[in-house]
Amino acid sequence: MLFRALSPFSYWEAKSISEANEILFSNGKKAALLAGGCSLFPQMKNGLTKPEVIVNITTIEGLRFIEGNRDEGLRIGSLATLRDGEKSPALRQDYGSLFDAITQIASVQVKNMGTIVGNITEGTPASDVATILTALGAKVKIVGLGEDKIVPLDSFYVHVRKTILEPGEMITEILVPPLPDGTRTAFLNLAKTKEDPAKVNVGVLTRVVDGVCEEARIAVGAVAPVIIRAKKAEAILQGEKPEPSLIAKAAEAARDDKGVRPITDIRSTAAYRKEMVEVLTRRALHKTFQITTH
Amino acid sequence: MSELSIVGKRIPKIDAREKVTGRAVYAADIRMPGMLYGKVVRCWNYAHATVTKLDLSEAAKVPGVIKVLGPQDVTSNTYNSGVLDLMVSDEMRKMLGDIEDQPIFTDHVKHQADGICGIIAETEEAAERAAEKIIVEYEPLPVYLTAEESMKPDAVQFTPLKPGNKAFELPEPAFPGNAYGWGDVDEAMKKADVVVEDAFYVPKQKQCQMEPHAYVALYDDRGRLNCWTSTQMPKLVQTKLARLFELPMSRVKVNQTTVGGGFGARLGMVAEPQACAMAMAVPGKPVMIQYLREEDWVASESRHPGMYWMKMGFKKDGMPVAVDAHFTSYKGGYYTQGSGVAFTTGAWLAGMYKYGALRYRGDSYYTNQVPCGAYRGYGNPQTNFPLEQLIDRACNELGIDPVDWRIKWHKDVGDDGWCIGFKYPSCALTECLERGAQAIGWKEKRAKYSTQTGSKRRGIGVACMNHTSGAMPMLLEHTVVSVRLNEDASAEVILSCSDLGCGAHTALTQIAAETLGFPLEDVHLLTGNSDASGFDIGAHASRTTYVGGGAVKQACEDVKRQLFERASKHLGTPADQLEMKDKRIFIKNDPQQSVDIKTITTLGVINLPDPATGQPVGEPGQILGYASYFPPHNSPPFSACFVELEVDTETGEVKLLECLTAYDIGRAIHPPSVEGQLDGGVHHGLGNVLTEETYYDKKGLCLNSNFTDYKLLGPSDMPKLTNILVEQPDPYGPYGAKSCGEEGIVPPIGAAANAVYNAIGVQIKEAPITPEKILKAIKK
Repeated sequence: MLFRALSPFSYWEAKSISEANEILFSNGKKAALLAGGCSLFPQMKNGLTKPEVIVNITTIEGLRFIEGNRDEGLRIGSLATLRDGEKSPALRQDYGSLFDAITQIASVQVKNMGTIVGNITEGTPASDVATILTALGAKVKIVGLGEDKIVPLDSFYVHVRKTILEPGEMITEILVPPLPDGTRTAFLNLAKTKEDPAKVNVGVLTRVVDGVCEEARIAVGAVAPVIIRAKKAEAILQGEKPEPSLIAKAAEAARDDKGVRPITDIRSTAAYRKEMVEVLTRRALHKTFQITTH
Repeated sequence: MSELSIVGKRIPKIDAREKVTGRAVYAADIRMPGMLYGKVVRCWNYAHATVTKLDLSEAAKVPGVIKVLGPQDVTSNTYNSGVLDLMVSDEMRKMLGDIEDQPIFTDHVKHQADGICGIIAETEEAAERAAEKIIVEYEPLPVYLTAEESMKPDAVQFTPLKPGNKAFELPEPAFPGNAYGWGDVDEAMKKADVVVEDAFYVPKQKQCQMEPHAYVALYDDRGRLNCWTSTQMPKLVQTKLARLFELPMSRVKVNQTTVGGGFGARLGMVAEPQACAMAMAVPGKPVMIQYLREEDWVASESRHPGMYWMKMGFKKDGMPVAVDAHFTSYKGGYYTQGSGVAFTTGAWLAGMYKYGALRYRGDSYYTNQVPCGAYRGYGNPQTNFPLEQLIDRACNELGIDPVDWRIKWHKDVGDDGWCIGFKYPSCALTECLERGAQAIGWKEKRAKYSTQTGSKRRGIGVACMNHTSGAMPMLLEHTVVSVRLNEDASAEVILSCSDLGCGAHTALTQIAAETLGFPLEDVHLLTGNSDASGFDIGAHASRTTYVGGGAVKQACEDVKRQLFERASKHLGTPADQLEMKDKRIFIKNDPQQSVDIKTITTLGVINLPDPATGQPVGEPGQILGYASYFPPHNSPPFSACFVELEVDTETGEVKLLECLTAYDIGRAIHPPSVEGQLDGGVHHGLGNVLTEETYYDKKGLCLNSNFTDYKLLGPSDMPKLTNILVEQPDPYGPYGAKSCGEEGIVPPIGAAANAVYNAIGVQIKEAPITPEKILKAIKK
């Protein structure tokens, strides 16, 4: 059934991270955290979630920041909006693929509301931001009542809309590693319209030293319950000279990776998604290895 | 025609300021003292079921609930939310088989979100809380999502009135063989050198008007039923409500609120019956019903989807010797506009090209989907997709340029229009094709794109359309306008024509001011009040500027005639020797002799006897112009559309580059509105062919009843838009105008499909043309 009125809830404005942790912990699964609201509000309106306690964290100071550069790495505070990301010189200049992923999302209105952390915490495997951050080797800082944890994004997701976050915990910042010399990154996706969630997306990071690929990270989104790493494809590139034939082999390996098990839904078909993993991986690798194609 | 001073000018729209400031009042903005809220409790989990138990008692106990209404608590009369039955004769209605199969609340759920009962409460929240307490039990029935399923002999019958679930077919008595057309198609087809044939699927597209449906109803202390609605057709809704609730029309008042987009979604009634039924249960209290967007999606009508089979035969020189076509649409759960779309889909086919012979069959079958009704184009988008693609396929086989073919074979002045036997009075399609081709660089691009390599392939395609300005002679066309001159010589133009946001009221004001010879600011349009205005069909069939404008012009000419008669007496000179300028009437060859219009209008109203003579000074009587206008024609407009795009052959993605529409407008009364209509139409058309479709799961539950999951093209998906307005005034339209409300949507569909064909050399037979389908087609 559809309703205009929301289920009753109590509403808190946290003044500090620890206060938010306390309220979230003491209410367990009944509590929801509110930052941009882009995911929470539609879910509440559709009755998919009926939180009894809402903790607004936008009242906590010091969480809205994007700092750093490619030499030192990047820190993204949990209240930095997608629009902040789009306007950040650090992203534009040093982390272009992250900028690419953010700038094509939805509309400016949505980007003004939504936070980068909120986007990746929602736990949808179609998140463009989470896919490129996975490729970049990003980690999240999780603060709860116990010790702070720093967890790689690869191990953050459990299933669709399910993360390792425990009651009382929240991400306070994203840590993106520095990009040593020779590192290039790329992000590509396919979507029904520019504003629609991705049918499939691919984030790639490669580091080439003296003509040899020293590091390759390939993240693929929307093809499994969580964003996956195409590790076989990565291994094919590791220690090799990036030639078009090798790239083609790696792209095929990404497509055939057993982690790639897409579904058919209203946005696309499983067969198409699988096939596009190869095309996007190949194109992204051509981009990072700076091989021009027609 | 003498120089026009207001018609054709780019004035600001008369409702621009209130819309831009957000001060325009839509139905959902209405607040009244003591207003109550109504909620229709819907069946969300089944698309086909019978209600086996309905217990309202717990809901009635929820604090704030005033009344809960089940099917037995409201009139048992049924209705048809469409209005076609009011626009044809009784005999025609019987022959077509139009029926009224919609109850206010139902115990046989025929599509998801069918209404089960209604709650009236002090607040919307209380109504929603109570809705959760309604106890309903269902017995599920088999779900039919296509005609092929519901036509099976053992299928559950939707209504005893339509055996075999066949909602409509062209009736045999008037259409032998359940078909219309001309010539002997079978014989003609044998003589063809090239025959192209295929079955196409056309999608279930949703209107996506900005304003979700909302209504307020009040059964007042004088026993009048008042309804505030954003319907496109206030006068016909007045008639429908009067019949449904068995009241004289004098006891039903429809107040039209600002309309936030129509596109056919409000063609007739949506929840006026439910809102009014609730209001009648609580006399003296206004009741508001407001739809959520998702509710709007699954509980108000959409476009007719279905399978469209078409076969065309051509001679070597391109002559189209025969067309055979059959459109079977999936009707949804109720009859509504059952006869209309199945009929007109073939009409647009008939009106387009000079086929030697034509046979069209149209039918529709009930399915467990949201009912299909009117949507911009009314069958024309459905026809454009197969027709224009098959022509290009034939052109390809024959080695004929698609633009050249269309210039040679399109119907022209004097040919039969969409209504066979009714001739085209004007047609600028050749000029549209020539200017469009020139502007977009057709020849050069076609040549260039024939030798492409690599994974990015460009394509350019063309398509044409014919449509109509009003629905006569098939349906009634009639608009009443009265124009009252105030004592200060300003004018009140009273009529019921709707403006769905497209600028129709601006165009009508321009026509009134131009005809009266008054400045714009001296003319006011009174609309939206069924007590005040005379008859009008309402906004459909792209009729308002053409028919409404014709009526306004005639009523204003009546005013002008009366002014000249009075001036003639005043000046002692015959009326034919008088002229009007700057609100003065003067003698043509003695301009010093003149009378001010204001003098005439003032004396008409404030007329006291001369104390000396006891006689009136000047002519007493307030001037009232009147027109009860039945237009003599339907002056169809034409257009040619060109789409250029790029296909990524590795991903199947389509990047739209340009869409150019060259449009046979007759005369653009308000050019910015014409351009706006064309641009908006292109947006709908490209969406229809590339991204838009309503998806259902096996249970018949809608999977994309919102803007997140139903994909309209966004601003950054849209190509560069170009319009060329070709103005060759029509002999019947007001100031030569023809219509432009629906038409923009139509030819981008065929043009984009043909551009994809040009780019990849394969045609996609199922709309929308998605990357998945393109890739599959390329691989084959």
